[in-house]
Amino acid sequence: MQLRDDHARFEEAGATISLIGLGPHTRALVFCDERHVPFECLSDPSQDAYRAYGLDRGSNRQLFGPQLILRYAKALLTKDVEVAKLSGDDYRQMPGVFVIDRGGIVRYAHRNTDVADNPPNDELLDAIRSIRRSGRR
Amino acid sequence: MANRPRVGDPAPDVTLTNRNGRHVRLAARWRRKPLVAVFLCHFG
Repeated sequence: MQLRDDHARFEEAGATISLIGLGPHTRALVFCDERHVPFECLSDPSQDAYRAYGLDRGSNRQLFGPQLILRYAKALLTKDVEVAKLSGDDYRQMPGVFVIDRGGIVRYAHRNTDVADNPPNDELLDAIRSIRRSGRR
Repeated sequence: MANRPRVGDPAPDVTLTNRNGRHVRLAARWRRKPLVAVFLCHFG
């Protein structure tokens, strides 16, 4: 998980990170404990939060496009993704990342165009720093 | 879709479930520090 690699940099920038996942909270517990995730893990079993943030369900191309085959293969080899666990979830749900300031305003929004299109940490850190620079938040 | 918050828009204060199974508000996470809310494609 690339966010975990830069955990210290996010802390230094003064941000909180919350991971939000599908399924019951017991699934989140297992996921986060197994991987020693240093962030709070929250669940959205109804997917209401995903909908509220405009995160759609993906098309076949977004989920299984040629650009993703190599990544899936690698993930399977390293057991980073356990396909069996997909069965209980809505595997079409697309991910995204939002940076929100202390006033509750969205300062950065990224909705993945495919499941591998995660934003670089530097982009997120820049968004956090720009909140700090603006002085209000 | 009507709900598609963009940069500059108010972030929706949604209710989520924490690791103890309790309902929590996302707004409680951004009041003290800026929040990076990471929506995963699935857990696992």
